[in-house]
Amino acid sequence: MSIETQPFDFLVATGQWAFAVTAFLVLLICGASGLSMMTHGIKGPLLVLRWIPRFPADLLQLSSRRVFAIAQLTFREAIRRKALVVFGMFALLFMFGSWFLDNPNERMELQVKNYISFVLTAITWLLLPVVLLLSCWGLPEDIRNRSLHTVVTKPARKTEIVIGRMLGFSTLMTILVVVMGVTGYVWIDREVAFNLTVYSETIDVDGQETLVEYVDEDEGVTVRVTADDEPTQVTAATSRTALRQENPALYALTERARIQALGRHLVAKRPVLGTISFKGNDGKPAERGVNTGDIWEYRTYIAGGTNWRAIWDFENIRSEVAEDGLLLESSFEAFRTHKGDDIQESLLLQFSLVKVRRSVFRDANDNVVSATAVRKSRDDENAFEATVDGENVAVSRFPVAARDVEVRNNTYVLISDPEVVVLIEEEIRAPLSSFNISEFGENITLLKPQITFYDQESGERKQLGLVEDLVNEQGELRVEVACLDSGQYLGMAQRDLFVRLPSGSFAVGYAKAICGVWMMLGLIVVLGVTASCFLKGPIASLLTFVMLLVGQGFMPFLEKIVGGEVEGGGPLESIIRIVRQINVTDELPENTFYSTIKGIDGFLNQGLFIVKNIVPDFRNFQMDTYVANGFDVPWSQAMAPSIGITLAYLVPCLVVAYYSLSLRELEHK
Amino acid sequence: MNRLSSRQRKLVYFVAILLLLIPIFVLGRPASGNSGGGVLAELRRPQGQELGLSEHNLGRVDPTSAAMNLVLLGMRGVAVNLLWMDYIKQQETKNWAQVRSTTESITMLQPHYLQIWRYHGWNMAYNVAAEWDDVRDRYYWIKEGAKFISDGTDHNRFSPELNYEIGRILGQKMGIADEWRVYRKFFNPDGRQYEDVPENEKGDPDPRYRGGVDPELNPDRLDNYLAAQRYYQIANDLEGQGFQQHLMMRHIFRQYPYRCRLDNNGVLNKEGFFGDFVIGEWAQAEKDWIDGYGQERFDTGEGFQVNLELPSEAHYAELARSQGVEVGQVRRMVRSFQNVVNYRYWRTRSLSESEPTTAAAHKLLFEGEELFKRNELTKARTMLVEGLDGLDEVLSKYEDLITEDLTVEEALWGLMLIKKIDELLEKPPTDDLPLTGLWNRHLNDKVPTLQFNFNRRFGGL
Repeated sequence: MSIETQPFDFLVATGQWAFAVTAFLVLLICGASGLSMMTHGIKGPLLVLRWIPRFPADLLQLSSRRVFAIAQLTFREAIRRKALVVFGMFALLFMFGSWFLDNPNERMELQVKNYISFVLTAITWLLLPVVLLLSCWGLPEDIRNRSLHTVVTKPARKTEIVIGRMLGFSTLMTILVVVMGVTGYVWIDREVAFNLTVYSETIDVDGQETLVEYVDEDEGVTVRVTADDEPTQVTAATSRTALRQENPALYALTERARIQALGRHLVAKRPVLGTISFKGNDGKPAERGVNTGDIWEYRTYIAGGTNWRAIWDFENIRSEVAEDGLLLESSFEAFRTHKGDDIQESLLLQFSLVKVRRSVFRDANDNVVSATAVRKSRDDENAFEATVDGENVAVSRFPVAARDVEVRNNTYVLISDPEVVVLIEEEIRAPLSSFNISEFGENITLLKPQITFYDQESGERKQLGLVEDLVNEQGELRVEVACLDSGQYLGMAQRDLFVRLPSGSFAVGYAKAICGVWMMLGLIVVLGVTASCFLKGPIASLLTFVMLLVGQGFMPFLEKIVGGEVEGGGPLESIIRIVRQINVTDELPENTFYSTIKGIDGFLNQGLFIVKNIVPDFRNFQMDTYVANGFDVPWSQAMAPSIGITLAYLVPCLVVAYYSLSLRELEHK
Repeated sequence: MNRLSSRQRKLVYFVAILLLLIPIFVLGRPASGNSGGGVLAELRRPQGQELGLSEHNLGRVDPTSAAMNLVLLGMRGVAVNLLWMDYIKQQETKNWAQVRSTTESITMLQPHYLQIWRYHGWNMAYNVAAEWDDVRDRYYWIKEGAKFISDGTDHNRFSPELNYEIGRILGQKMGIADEWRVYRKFFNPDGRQYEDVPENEKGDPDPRYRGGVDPELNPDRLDNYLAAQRYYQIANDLEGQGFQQHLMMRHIFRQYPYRCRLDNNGVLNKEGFFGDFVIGEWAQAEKDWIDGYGQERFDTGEGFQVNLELPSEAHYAELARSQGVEVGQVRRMVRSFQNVVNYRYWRTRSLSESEPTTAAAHKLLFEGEELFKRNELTKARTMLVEGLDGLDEVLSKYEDLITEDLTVEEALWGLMLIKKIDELLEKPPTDDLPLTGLWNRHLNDKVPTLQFNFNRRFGGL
């Protein structure tokens, strides 16, 4: 699984949006003024300026009654156009979906991912063409049929027409999404329940931990029950129904275990993520671990049996510690350079809990001083001094949060000022018992409120309070991970170790993912209706589809081109390289011709920059990865950007739609 | 300008339609009753009578697959390419759940494209399995690979290649991998050699099989090589019926069912299982090798055929005479074919192994090593020396074996163990050990490599 997202900063995003929209509107006004000048001469720009207040005025006089009437009309029109036929397709897909999906994986934990991905993908791709075509063809068809005249001749405003259209299509789309979402949820639940024929769960029976192993095959049902210190009891029956009739008590027990197993497969885990850094074999901090040659660079590795460590710093941990402690869940990847001494043993790893003090220093003028320049004062053991600009000054220590620190050039520095080295002092270390990893699976470690460990220095067993002794004054806990097998490597990424809070409901996580699909379709409606205000149906559809295609599939490529990461230069340079068979790594000759080519490419690149910033990044709406991998959809990394993007496009689209419709010659078919 | 009236034109069109219907009728007339049908129906006849092109003749008809192909309107090639690209990405990002379902989708679209079944089955068994750390997970993916190809044989029941691939995974992959001891115990817990192994250390780790066998791959509860032999035999039978394989030369391809038996016996010895049962198995394997594989006829590509077992000059002469070629030509080709499959070595090996002396020598060497691991050094040394004496006796009887790697390595390993014991017992080096001549002969090639492996396992510089 790979989920690489950054928290969404609403304020920063709003600032960027405001800047982009202003720039866009200014460009629009300049363009319109230029065009107007060509037709109306010097008066042109003035005419454009006179048009500007019309939109806000129109918006202020918006009538919800009229908007609702147009929305209703749009909704009915969409129904008339047989938009609901998509339900038939959906039903067909789900009736026969299990043909395609049944039993490609015998392991339920893998199969569940397929079910969830299938449902969310099916809903998205079934609705996308419907919504796209409806929203792009609505207005142009009305103009062509002249049925729009019946609306525009009435006292309806252009903004009302546009908003009404958007609202009408969105209502229809919402109904479709809700029906499909609920059906999909029921389908997933039933498929998982039906196919869960093998499970092994530990449940509490009268205060005693009991392992229930259940296998349901063609030949019959076998149940093995193992309670503490008691021999395993094996019961066989010809079928589940027979088991219920013959042994109701045991059946009830298996049902309890079954519900627990279902809950384990259909789950929305809520992780608290930490910041990750590494410690190299030389004991110095490192930005990344060892590269083992894996072409997927999501994870980076630590070498086993050496000083390499992966370090996670978890913030605000005090509030997360429950009565019975803290759950750490990890999912690391093993890379072996040899099969190991015991070929049946998985790699061994160890967690150490470390209390660290993370500090920066400030002088009397509140200037931050790098820790490398700081030393203890000769006069006072608890005071510090530093040499700044050749002068000795007294400095004071201030705590700094883990999120404000990163590793650069083998030292911890402030993110805000990479020149300032941060002092990190280890105060207490508690190494926990080692354990074997279950690769690509769940590894859960319970950190009890009282941590008992073997202290190598004193050679004694010690006990420390998790919160009292190991969490530092900023409420942070550091977890160091070591691989104990020499010659082996352990791969990890930031999300591979997290504090697991009590899991949320799968239904809620699923609903959030459906909400993501809904917002994406909503954005398509907005873009489609806007495009249809100034383009004919087919062209508007094409434009919206291209925006979807670029925003969904080509955004990473576009980012690479704009960021100059693609080898071989821009379009013209690439063509020349292909024709002249010049390798992409070869430098081009330095002459006027190639300089001109590069100049033109630079200009074209600016065009792509604009495209990249105009086209919405549809990747933000893809939340199926979270749900399929058993995680809740996080607010800050997934929901907030989706909402932000949808709202961000609404305002400029309304402006463009209003003026386009105002300027469009409605008599023209 | 058209001089025909509207009615005349219609009549012309009607006649043209009738004329065009004639070839369509001739080509496409379906088979019914005694009638064989049109040309296409003739071509689609069941295998053996004609080309066997109809869907149900090739294998299981899958309505889902047919529906998908219909829906894609001839774009299945494009769809498969896109799916394959997805698949590569999913494998790169270790998205195993979708890797498996994407392969299903690909084969659903092109169920008769053999290379797809072969590639993905191999990829799961060899590459995906290697990505997993836990040996039980690796075993699971190896089985997935074999099951996947087995599914392919349902759709393509006349493919010797797919059956060969299943045999390869069950035989070579499970039997030669570093984890072979574990895989074999997982695959067939009923093996006689595992009678003393605790129940929880053998049998399929999948909870569905409760420590038994996976019925889909091993319904008859056989050792991995013998289960593989079944598939290799099916491949040979199909190949014998005229369904071509395009993997390797025919005489290499057809050796595998026989080799499985030899390999299985060899691995039983490596697992420390000796005695009359294994001696009997070696004797049977020798019989099969000589009387079965050795009697099969192969085209030489030079206008005549040979078989690999020709016990005397008279047989060579008879074979040459019956096909009107020189004896020298026959001898050259037989020699060449034998060399390719190491025919003579396996013949000699099975012959020697079916003798109690050889089995006793192997047993002594195996048990000597076990005693060494338990630190019973003096007893171990005695057994190893006795084992080497026995091996010396075997080698003097079957001289061909002295040039074969496996035998030489077994002898050198025994000598290394004795030298290590002497070192631990602080005894002076001795040069009167059996097979010292063999040691000296391989002093510069095999000894250093083997010594390196020995030191890695047992320590030493």
